Amino acid sequence: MQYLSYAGLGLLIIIVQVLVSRFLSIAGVSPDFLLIFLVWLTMREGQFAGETGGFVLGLILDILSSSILGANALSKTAACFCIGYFFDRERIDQNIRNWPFLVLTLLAAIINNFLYYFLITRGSEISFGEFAFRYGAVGALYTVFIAIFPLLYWSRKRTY
Amino acid sequence: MRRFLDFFIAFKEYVALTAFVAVSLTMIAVSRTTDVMPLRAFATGLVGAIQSTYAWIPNPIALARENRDLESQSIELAAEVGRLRRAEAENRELRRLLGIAPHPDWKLVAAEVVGKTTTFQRNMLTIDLGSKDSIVPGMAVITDAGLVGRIYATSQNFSLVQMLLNTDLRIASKIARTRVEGIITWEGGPSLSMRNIPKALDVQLGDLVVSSEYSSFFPAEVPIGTVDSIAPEANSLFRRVMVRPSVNFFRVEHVYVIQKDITKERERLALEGRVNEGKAQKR
Repeated sequence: MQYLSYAGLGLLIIIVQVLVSRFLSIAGVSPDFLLIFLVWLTMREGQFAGETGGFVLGLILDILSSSILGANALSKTAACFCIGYFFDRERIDQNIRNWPFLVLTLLAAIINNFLYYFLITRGSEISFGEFAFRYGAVGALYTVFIAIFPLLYWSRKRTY
Repeated sequence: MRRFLDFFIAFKEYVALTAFVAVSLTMIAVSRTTDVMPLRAFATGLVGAIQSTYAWIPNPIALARENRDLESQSIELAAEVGRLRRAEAENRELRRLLGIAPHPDWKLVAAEVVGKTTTFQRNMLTIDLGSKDSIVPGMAVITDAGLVGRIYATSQNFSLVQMLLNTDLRIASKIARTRVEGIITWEGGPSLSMRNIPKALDVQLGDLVVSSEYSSFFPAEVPIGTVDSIAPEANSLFRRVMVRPSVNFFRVEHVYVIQKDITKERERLALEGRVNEGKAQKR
């Protein structure tokens, strides 16, 4: 039942990402809401749940956002797999409600974006380094900035 | 079997990672083939239907900018209309004297943008016209300012437009003033890149770039943008010409579809040419 609610929440976030990203786009760079959710899921449920969620939800995002089929699925699976090494069953709440969440979101965004841009620039004349830095690095920072808001909300919940 | 299950449970993270990576790479390999078009069409219809429900929500900042742009554009256009009317009359008269056929008229169908998908490298628009309006993939999409892109996929009521800001698109283009030909691509950033321009040819800042007759997808003479910067390419006979697009892709709200699939027409013509060539060789 709990996994069904994660799936429902993930789908809702994908819909928000596809539909609302144009309102939040700055010079073509949008935050990755789905990645924030996947980092949260991985820190809460572990590596296996994270990478499975990354693959399934990444694939749905690929289909709905007209991206290269499989690119988001692969990059999000890999990002969640790496983040999964930092999963600590004893410190789930502390990690999610404190700065480790932001650090892991940044790490996940960097892995996700660089892998994603590597996949989409392969075989073209586009310089991977320039494209990945311009959109990947800036996009990663924008995603971390947005991740501050749920972090503040969860920290506040702990106080009261 | 038991051992296999134990192994899977013990290493489930790695087994799952291997499986997911394999499936993802397979999908990436088939992503650009036509086999996935039905899936794309379904997704276009689904996303378009949802986006059309909130397309009426205005973006006040974008509207204010658009109004400012439109005001200055209308002043420029008023002056240009006068010049063009005189030029058109002269052109018609000269064509008649030389016996050249007039330019074909395009059938334009107005559409509203109901959604934008900006995935950095493959920017798309969703418009509220679909296959029931006789829209088919490959048709050109323009605004009053110039070329927007081409139809990529259609569902019954919606279509997905591949914008010029898309790494998959290559457009045969030319400098309107000197007719110098090149290929327009997008490599990220606000400007387009015009390639294959030899250093010796005449290209200047501010030159208008239009689509070329050699384009397989777009009709000729549709404005694409103006030359923004010119730089020599190292160790090459060519130079790098950056083109600022005529259309502001992030503010576009209404577009026109040129309802004529010139790709098919040209393919048919090329096929007829080959058939006639074959017949001539047999004789």
